[in-house]
Amino acid sequence: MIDFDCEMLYSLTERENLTLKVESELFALYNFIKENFELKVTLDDPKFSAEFKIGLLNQLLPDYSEITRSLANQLIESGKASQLYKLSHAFSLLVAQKKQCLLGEMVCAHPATAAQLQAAETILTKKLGKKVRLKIRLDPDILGGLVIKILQGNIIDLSLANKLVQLRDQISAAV
Amino acid sequence: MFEIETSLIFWSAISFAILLLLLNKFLLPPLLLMMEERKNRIQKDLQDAAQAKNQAAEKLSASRQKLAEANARAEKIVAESTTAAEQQKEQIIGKAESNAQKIILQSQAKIENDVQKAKLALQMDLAQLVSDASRKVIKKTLTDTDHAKLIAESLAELEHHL
Repeated sequence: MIDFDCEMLYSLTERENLTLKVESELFALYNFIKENFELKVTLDDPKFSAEFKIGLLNQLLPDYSEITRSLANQLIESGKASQLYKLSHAFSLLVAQKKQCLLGEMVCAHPATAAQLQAAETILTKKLGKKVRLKIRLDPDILGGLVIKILQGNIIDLSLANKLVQLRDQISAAV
Repeated sequence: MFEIETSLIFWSAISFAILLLLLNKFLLPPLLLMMEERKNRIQKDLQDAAQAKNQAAEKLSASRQKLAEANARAEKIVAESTTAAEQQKEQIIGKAESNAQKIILQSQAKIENDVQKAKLALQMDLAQLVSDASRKVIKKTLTDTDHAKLIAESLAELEHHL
């Protein structure tokens, strides 16, 4: 079902030349819902009407494309808001396959600039021998630095949190 | 006043002789026979008594021998039992000592292990405390410039990572 939806979605986004934007928006939406527990509970709660949930989500997604909004609304109306991760993941995989590229995310504790994102993509493209497209995700828990997660691939943890963990392990071993 | 009557003496002698003849003829043979029988019986009784005495002596000797053997056997059994008991006692003591030694070694190992665990837990707690404190300090003190610098350093690291 999701595969079929993804194919349709891909055709639609390609026609509008919005594939990468929609893929990023779906990914961001999934993370947004995941990180906002109250929103997640509200979207999963059958006591709230679909209209209310759609209104709430539209308020939260002012700059999102019409395709992403419409897709999110459909999921909410059909009571499948919890399927958003599967859809986002499946669509990312499909896009990566169709575009012959690797998709991933660059996790930062502080918003990275477009130039930094571009630099990371360039390095990874050069190293992995395939076009790499990254999305930025904020996670204050990494404290600083970067974590690169390639979809269905490596996780490169260059964060300050990871360095602290390594330091902690060294202290544990040394004392 | 006193006169000897020869006829009376004569007849008395004759009567006495006849009496002797009669006694010798009729009384003496059975008497001798009876005496001979009695003598034989006494001899037989004496022989029997001697035989019984010998048998009793033999029995006494045999009994004494059996008693001596029984005593010897009893002593042997007692000696064997004592030896076996001693061996068993030694075995029990040996086993108890071995078990005690084993328990001591196990206890020592457990104590050592517990100490090591406690040390490790303490090390880990200490490291965790340092890490947590560092996290708090870093979160509070990092500026935008620091973040930009950290990202730039991470990108440089990424160049060499893959």
